[in-house]
Amino acid sequence: MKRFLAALLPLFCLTACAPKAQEYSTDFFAMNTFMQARVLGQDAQQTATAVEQRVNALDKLLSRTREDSEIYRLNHANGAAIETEAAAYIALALPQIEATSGSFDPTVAPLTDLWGIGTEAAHVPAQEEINQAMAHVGWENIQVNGSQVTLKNGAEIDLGGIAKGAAADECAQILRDAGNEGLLALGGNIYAVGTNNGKPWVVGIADPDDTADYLATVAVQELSVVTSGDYERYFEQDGKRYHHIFNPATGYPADSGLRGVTVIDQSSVRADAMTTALFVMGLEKGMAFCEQNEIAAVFITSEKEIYTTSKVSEICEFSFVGEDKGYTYAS
Amino acid sequence: MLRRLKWGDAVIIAAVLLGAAALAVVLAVQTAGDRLYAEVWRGSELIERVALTDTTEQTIEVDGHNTVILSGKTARMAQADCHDQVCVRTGTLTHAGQVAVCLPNKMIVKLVGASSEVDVIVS
Repeated sequence: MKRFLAALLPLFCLTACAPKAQEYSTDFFAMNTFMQARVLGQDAQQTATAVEQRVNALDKLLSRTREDSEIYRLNHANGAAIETEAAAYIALALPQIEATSGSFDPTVAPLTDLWGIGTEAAHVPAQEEINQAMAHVGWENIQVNGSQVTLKNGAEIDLGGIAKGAAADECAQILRDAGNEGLLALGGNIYAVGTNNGKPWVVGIADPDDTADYLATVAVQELSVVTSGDYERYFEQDGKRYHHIFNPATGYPADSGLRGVTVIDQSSVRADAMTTALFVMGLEKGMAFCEQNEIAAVFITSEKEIYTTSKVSEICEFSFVGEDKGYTYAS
Repeated sequence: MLRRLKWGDAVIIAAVLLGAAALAVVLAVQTAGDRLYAEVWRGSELIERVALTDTTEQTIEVDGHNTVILSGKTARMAQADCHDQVCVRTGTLTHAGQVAVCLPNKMIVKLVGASSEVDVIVS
């Protein structure tokens, strides 16, 4: 018997010492979107659970629609100064607003409500209604003083433009602290933590007309990849598409000739805010902004062209695969 | 030590090593994942898991709200009673890792198993 057990040892080693890391994947709904966490390494399930819990905690803090959230409380404070834990996250948004001269602006909430995009009440409002809503839009209405926030001029704040980014950044750190690697997909925010068994994670950039498929890939590690496009939440009226990314200067969905913008960055918050701002800026202004500020971005135009900024090739491996879908890679 | 190794010991060791090698090959093939599966989830509840082959033809109705069609090695949300229709517009899933999500009905269709060129698609 001893001989038999001793002989079993190599069998155990060959099977138990598998080359791949322990892996645990979980799917869940939070922040009004679908999320996936794939964790590699020891205690992967425990880490994935911690990720889900942190996302849910941030959802409760930063949601605009949940009546028990801090942002809801702030938006309904009638301009009073509010002491809130959410101040730290609003403070994260402010540099992005300033850097983009307000192309990214979390005070577009009244416009989001008015247009109702993504809801059954979606419609094109009258110009007068848009003007009325615009009177409350403007990032200068946000005042942050330490942990105290004041919203002036009837402004409301919607952190949807950075909340998933904040969640991705914090959850990536949860993986690192636990000694895990993995891939977080929090709605349109991806965070590639470490490697996939020694190789970079490969992220496909969706085809705006067939989001199950992709036009390009980026191979990344220790980077976030975030996309915004006109193809997820939208409605059509009189043959025209109205999507959810608003131009704070016009009160209308941004009509910039772009279908999607992807930003690759170590900070998912920054990438999140930049995709929105670059979509509003359009190709020419957006490309110039990226070159000036060293932002890695991929632009997809309505003319079926794909452009990348010079920073892209510096931080990841980009591959264009959209030829058979009629796209051209312009730069 | 080798002198003390008996004929019977050698046979057992050789057999076990052969068995281990065969098992390792089987596991490697499984890990590479030639098989492609379609999974249909309602929230955290797995409703169906179907191994897809070239001849798969199956329609899955979920609570009268969503209809999933499996055809060959593909899956798609063919119909949904949600207002945004994002899941239907997602199109046909053909590779592991692709997901079609009906957010209002908390319904998910995804392909898993066979190795894919991408780990995730960002949209």
